[in-house]
Amino acid sequence: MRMSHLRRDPSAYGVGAGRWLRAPRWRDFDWHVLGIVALIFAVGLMVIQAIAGAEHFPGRQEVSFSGHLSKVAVAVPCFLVALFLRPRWLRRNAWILYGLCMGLVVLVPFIGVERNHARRWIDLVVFDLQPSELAKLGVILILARVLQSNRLKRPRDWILPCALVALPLLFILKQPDLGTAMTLIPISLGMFYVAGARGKTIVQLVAACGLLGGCAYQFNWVKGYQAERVETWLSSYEALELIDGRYGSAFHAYHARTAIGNGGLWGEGLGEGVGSRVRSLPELDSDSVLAVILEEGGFVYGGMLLFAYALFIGLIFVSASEMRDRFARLVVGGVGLYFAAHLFIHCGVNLGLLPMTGLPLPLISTGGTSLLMSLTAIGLALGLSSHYERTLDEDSFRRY
Amino acid sequence: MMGRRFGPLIVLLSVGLGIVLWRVWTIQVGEYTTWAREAANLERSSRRLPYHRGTIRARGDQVLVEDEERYRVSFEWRAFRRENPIGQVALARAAKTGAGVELSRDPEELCAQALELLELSPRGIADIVEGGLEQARDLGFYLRRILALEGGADRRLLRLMEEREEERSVLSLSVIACADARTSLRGEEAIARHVSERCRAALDDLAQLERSLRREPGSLWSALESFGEDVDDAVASRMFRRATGFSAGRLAPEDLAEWDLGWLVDALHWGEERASVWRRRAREGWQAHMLSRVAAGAALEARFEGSENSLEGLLPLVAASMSPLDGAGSTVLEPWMGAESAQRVAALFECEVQPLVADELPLFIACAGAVEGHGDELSARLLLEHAGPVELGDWAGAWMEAGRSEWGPPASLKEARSRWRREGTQLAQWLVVVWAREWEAGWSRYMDALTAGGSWKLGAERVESALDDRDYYLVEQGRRSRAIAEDPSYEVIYLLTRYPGRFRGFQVETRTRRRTSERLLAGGDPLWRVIGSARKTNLEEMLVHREGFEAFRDLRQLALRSSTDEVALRELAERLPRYDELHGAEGVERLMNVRLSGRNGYLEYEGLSDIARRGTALAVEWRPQHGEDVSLTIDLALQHAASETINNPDPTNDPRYSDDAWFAAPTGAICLITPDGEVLAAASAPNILGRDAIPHRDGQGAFAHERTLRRHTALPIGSIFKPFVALWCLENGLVTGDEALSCVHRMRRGANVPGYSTVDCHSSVGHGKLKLAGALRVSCNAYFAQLGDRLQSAENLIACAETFGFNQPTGVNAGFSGSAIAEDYANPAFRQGGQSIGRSELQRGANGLTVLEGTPLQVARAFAGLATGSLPSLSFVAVAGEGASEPLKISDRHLAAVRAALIDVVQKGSAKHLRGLDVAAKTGSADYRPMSPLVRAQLDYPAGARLKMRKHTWVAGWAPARNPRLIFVVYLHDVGVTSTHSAVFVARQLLERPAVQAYLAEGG
Repeated sequence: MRMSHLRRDPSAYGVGAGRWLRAPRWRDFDWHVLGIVALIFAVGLMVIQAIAGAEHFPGRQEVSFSGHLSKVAVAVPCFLVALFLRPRWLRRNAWILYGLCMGLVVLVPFIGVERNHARRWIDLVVFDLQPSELAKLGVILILARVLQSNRLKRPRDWILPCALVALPLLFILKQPDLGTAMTLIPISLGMFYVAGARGKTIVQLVAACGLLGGCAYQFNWVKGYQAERVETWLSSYEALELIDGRYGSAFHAYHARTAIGNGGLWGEGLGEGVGSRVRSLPELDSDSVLAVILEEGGFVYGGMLLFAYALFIGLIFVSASEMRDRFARLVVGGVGLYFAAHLFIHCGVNLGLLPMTGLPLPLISTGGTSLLMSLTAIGLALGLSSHYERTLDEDSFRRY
Repeated sequence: MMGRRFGPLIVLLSVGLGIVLWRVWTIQVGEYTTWAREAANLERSSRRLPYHRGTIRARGDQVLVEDEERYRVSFEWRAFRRENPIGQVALARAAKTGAGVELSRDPEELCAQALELLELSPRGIADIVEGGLEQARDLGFYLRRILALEGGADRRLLRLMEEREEERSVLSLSVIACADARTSLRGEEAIARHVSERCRAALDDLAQLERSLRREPGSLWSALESFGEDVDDAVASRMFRRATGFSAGRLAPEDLAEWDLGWLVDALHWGEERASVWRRRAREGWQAHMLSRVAAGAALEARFEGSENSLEGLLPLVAASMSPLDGAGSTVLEPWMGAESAQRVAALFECEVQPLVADELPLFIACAGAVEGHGDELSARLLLEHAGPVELGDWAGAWMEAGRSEWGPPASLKEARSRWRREGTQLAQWLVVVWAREWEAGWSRYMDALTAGGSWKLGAERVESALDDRDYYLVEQGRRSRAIAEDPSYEVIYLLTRYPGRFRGFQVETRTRRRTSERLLAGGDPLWRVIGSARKTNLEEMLVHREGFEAFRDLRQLALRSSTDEVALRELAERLPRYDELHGAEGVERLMNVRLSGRNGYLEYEGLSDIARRGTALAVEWRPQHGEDVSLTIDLALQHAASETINNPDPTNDPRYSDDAWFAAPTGAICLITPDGEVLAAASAPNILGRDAIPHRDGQGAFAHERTLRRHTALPIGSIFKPFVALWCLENGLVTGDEALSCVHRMRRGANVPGYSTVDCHSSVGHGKLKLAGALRVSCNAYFAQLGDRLQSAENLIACAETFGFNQPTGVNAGFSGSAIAEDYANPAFRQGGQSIGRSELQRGANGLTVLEGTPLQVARAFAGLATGSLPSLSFVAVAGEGASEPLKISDRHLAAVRAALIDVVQKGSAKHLRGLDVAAKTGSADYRPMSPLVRAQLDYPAGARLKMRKHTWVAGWAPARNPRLIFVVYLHDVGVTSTHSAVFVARQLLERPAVQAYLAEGG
């Protein structure tokens, strides 16, 4: 376990490395977290390469491994930049970063491109930027910034943080991108809790969100296809029901479940699953990548990957829990929540525990923005947890 | 350790991970079998490999019947509409305008239409969709297909077209896409030219194909449009069924027109007129299906399940096939409009269940209840209630089409039962009509009652469900190929296989056909009846294997199979009949069906190669075992010689007696066999169907019947039976070779003519005292009439005949239960022990007259026995080793005496026209019908000659006389003169044929 920052000599690390970049303290660097991340990332690359190289039905989904590598090439520098960012700079510029993210989200309706009846992307030629993904990191940063000195004790303490979450949420829902919008809620609630909100309040908020979702469905506040997804989910949990509806709205769920179920205990082998070969599974390299992994890796290897993923998130939480810098702790905790939300929503959707929605699995799926943001978030988490800041926050010595 | 509030998060994380892993375990381990099976079916494709039925060859290996690969041009609508510019433009226009699909035939028009479509912008397409034309969503796809840009440019164009607000035309966007992808196409003009060239080339190709198929100009386009309509009709019917649970054809078109089917019409880009056509076609198709397949199947199945004498099983089966809603099908009749059904119907139409419905139930509900054990009674009751003047309504057309216009329902229960065995299919068809009409009337009343006269429409959920499945149905129906042309010319095959890219949607398929060699054996030759024919698997055979097919389907779908499963799968794949499998229907094809049939093979692809047509990822490959070849004993040279002789005999030029009319239009048969029973030739005349028969005779000359094994009229064999009577009497001590019997004049019917008792002799002066050899030589009727007396009883006559194979099968069907090769072997007069045979019949029978009948091959077999001492079993199929034969229980001494007598018949007796040939033979002239003056007028005969009867004339014998290698029988049907003046001439012509001479010279 890493030693406390306070027991080290601050002068040993110098102060002249630039206003916004500074090398992390490599001796205190969370190499084990990086190792797990590298492992997951490597597995992701192998899976994408296997999918791309699998012999498959012609005319169906094409997956480009080189395209994925080009996105990696863009994302890795972002990871390094985030790793070297000074926490103080980050804290000072959190509003600006949030503003930039929001600006892009707001611009999407005007300059975004539309696909599959949704306008979510900005065409950057190399890849399509999805501002809603950026918004997640923006929300993490801004919540960390405002919650740095706000323990959400009084009702009015909730107004600003909630507004900062609601703003992107509404724009993202408008795109529409229900999956991304839904990830913001657990991230925000988790950060509220870490910041000091009472557990009871969080439970009440979760219940309220559930109630709101139920009302939205019951009173047709959601779009038709969204309601249909919920109905499909409710009516296709059991295998036979799902099989019965495979040609209709349960098409995606059916193919995901078929691929997963076909994996069995030991899996079909890389590139050998029906998901990779038949390619009836929609978005098999992004929103359905878990189904491909579980099919080709089976319960044993797929379970190991899920365990590694959960371990990685857990270690980020552990790392965050040991940080004295409240801002950094909230950012790192938010990053953990970001990955946790993605993991469980992605798993829930593919396993039929949640209604169908499109959400990539960070570090593994091919989505360009998702990759960019997940590597940036990991860079931030690893960097913040290994930086030493001379100035401590007022509550650095308090235990919550 | 876990301070600062992260402990609960880690606990939540752990719980979440636990739930996820539990769910993964449930799916991957608990439900593994289910999902592995689904996965296997996603990429597994399999097919059964048909075996080739064995070849039937003649002696000398000439192929008479064989399986041959034939070609067929088939058409797939989906490939055509997606990949052929003509289809792409037509479908894009249909998507844009909502009108029907119309294929353009004019190059300028097609190019103009394509370019006009490309002027649309993504915004324009979106506007059309928003304007309510949902199908315009497909436009983007077709426009990209029309452009047919290279991969990179196409992907770039797709990205550009995804921008809904884009107002530049698709053509302009394609210019950008081509520039970005650096393709050779630059500028709108070049792209427009590229599109125009594609369209023109596609039209030229289709026109060329139409010419090559030798079709009327434009007819191919019409056929393709018709195929497209058929696909749409099928999709509409399936969507309707998905939404309602029953077929659209159940309701009369005018009733269906009152339904709110806007959703269906919109989904298929139809107008009201097109919907009306679909309603009519759906109705006609359903009616035909119900009558031709469902009713026939129910009748067959009822027989399988129940008794031959009872209607018992029929009603539940018809009821199940008429099941009105999904899930209501059952082999047990139940009132479908009971409470449960009412709920279902109410759910279907989103209306409240009314309590009044019980009074509105149609007739058959009253019949329901205790059906078990009363099916026949209820079936009959339904039929009887509808007996009498028939109100078929719009079923009249289908009823007539099924050929039932003359059929009337039974008038009583007893009659219904008695007609069930013979008219099961008709009864089932009538029951279907009755039931369907009841259903229609009941439905109408029921809906009124259910909705209390209010309006109703299909439930949104049901409609959504049908709309969801639209694309699947379009793909599935569109992929079904239809035959465009059978046996296309080489040019067509070359075009389609050499340039598949130019004829998207068309493909050449191979199929197997049973081909007969008419070059070797004329098509009309009655020998084909013996060789027989093969037919496809019938419904009855498929029903017999129902359970096998179900087991086969289950085994095919198993994701993982044990070795036992594999064995069972293979066994079923090999054994179960295919729909297109041929089975012997008659003749040698049926007789040797087991040997000619092979075992089907089976191919299974675990991967993609079958569909993707690349790679060879075979998971299972069991090659078919082809059927064995069968060699016939038929010698084509001898068959041709025999056929030519009996069909085109030279006139006798007999100065005394001749029947030139018969020789001008012969009717009869010739057969040649080996002494051990192999049939070398079996020729019949005439061999041309519909030839003019000789006037005033029995008309048989008009029919190309098989006559060597069949008796189409009475067929007494006449005096050629005498040697066998002689042998039997000698062997049984009824006569000796030295005993002389008289043939003298006696008074009969007021005339003093030679003969004995009731039998007149053909000699005008009588033969006087005759010994056996002499009697055979001159064929004395009086002598053998006296032997007939000595036989004393019918039993002895029958025993005599049966000793030499008469009244018994010849053996051509040996080893086969039943009669594959049709054969009339039983002697009608011998039925019931020959009770009708009295003394005079015995006298006639001993002369081969009246009561003694036989076929030419029976005669040949008997003469083979006489020639060799063993009665062979005849065979058309060559078998290894010597054929089966049974030694005659006749002493060699007696056989030798009779053989010597038959040599004398040729040298000095009735067959002396054969003199000079090394043969032994016997002639025979069996009275057939009285001679009418009109027939007599056709004959040449000396003045004063007595010609009282028309005859069948025969010659039977063997060659060489003392070393028999060839048994021959000549039979002339309905001749005006005796054998000596007719059949003997034909026999000589036969024996002088080079083929016969060559056969004898070769030593057989």
